[in-house]
Amino acid sequence: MTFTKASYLIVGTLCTIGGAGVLYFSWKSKIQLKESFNVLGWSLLVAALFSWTGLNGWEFGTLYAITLPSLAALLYVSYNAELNGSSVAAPSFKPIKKPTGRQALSFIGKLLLILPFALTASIFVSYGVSILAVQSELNQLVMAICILPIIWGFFAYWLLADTRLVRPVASQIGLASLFVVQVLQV
Amino acid sequence: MGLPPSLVKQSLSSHSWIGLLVSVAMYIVCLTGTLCVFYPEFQRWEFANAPESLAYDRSSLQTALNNAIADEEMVTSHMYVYLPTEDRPILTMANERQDYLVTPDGTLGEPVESKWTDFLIDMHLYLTIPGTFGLILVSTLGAMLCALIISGLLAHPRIFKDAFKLRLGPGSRLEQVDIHNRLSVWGTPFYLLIAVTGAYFGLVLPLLGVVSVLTGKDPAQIRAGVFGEEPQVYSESQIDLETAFDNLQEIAPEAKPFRLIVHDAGTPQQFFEIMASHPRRVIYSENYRFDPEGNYLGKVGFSDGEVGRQIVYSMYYLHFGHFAGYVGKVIYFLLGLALTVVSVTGINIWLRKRSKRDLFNPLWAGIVWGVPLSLMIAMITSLILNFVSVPLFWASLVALLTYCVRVRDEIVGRRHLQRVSIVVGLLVVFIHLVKFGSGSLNPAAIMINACLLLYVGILALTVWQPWQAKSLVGQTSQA
Repeated sequence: MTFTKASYLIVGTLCTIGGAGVLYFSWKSKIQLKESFNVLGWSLLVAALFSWTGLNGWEFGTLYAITLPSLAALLYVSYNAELNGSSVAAPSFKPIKKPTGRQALSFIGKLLLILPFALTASIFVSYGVSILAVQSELNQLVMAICILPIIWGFFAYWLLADTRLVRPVASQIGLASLFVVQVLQV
Repeated sequence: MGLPPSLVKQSLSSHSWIGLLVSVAMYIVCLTGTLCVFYPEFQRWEFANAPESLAYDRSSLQTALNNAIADEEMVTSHMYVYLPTEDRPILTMANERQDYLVTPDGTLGEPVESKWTDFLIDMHLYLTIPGTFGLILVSTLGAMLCALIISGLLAHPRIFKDAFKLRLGPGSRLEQVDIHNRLSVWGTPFYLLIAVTGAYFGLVLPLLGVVSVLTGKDPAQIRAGVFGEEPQVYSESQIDLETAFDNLQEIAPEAKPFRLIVHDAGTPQQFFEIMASHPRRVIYSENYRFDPEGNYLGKVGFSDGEVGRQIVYSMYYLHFGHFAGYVGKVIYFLLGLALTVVSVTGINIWLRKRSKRDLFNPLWAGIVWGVPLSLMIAMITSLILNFVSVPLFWASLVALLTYCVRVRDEIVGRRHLQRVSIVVGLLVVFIHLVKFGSGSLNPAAIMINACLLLYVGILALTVWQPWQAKSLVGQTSQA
């Protein structure tokens, strides 16, 4: 039993550090088989998931497989660090310019769009999506709460990034209305 | 195939806007969240002279609980028993106001207080803003973190080309960009997990409101659907813990009890729940319910009920990393620290991009170095005066910011705050050693004091390294 646990631990560690290492090697070198090494690196990281699952069950295993490759990759990032001695002169200190009325209004407008507006739209959309996706009321609620921050984040990003504000605003109002109608019908 | 340059440009602009909007709150929440990973250790550090042991006598505990419930001044609607665990090897009992040690003879001992840790948790969950508004505000940061992740990935066309690049150089913008991008990209799965689980705690409230309006159901009824309805009990008996523990051993031998909650304590409707962790499970607990005589009434179903219920009860461990002892804690601490550095370097990049310096430069340096310093000042008031004040924390931070603004040179301001942090950090360890004496030798206290000394050591190295600029003459600025 202990032997099996130890072997899972060793294989998991080797796959995680090795997988990130192979990705680093593939990134660093100008070899022809770059693609193959990339596949090998990611495969080792996936293999680590099975080892962690064997060691501590699939719930802990998945969490280890999500978090540990990040730390392993950052080890190689620090190993690859270059020291650059050059520095740039600091610009001079100036007083802060008072924002104009137009700038203040634009700021408040954006704030209202990405916070209350996008939140309301994303609540309707996430609940509507979850009603379409799952049957049980409990699971619908939990799925909605899990996807809500992602949908809200995406809506906020879209509102700020689109060059024509009307597109995200109209789309989000349209989507939210559609889902409200759908929820009311259910 | 690369991303269209216009998309990259718009994504970058959106990334900067959101980043600036949430910068200060995000930094404070990330820093306090990183520290909260070790909150049981901080609690043990704060009551370092409490006797630690994993063993306890059930019959003494039962006596203590029944005496507390019979005491009209002590009893509140909910009574809690915190069983000793490896994280917190102390047996305590609490009403809704105060936590007390339970002595081996079944009497209540000294009050157990961890005011600084409570303050740290309050800062992380509510930013010290009272009521649900603080909780919703902090959860909003989770959604904004999702927006930052999406915009950051779309604003980063060289994501694979630069995957391992790190160009360091004191005062260089490239250094800040590389640190920010590398930590961001590699940590993305963890940050997304933290964002979604963090948003859950506060966003569930507006969601419940909307669902209630749309479906016409009472929010309490919806909540009961998730967390289970309370059983109807009528009994005049006292709590029989021993029978309940024996029954639990038969029902779920793998369950490890760590907490006990008495509902409607002291009334004929009272019943109690034994919260128990399950090996290899991320769920916070399964709650086993018993009537006062110790008869098993059923469990809520967090361990084997509907998937949604299991997910809801996994949110806590998924967010705080307390699922696998020190392994989970260290992973979460390191990645939490990475997210904190990402939030700092993001603003550093914005500051460095501008062709000018203004009040924002020293203010940002003041926030980055002033918040940990103010937290350490709060540690001192907690140790000496047994008092942690929210206004005092903010007042000390404002004073530090004012100082940085007056200095007008962020490098000098930062350096001065670092020097004061070194002194305050050493003072905290010294006061702890004097206050608790041999109590400072409990493993958690040793760990926290060692970490404080490590932080002080790193600061000392940073402050006194000869190659660092002493002021902004010939240097660029960053926090």
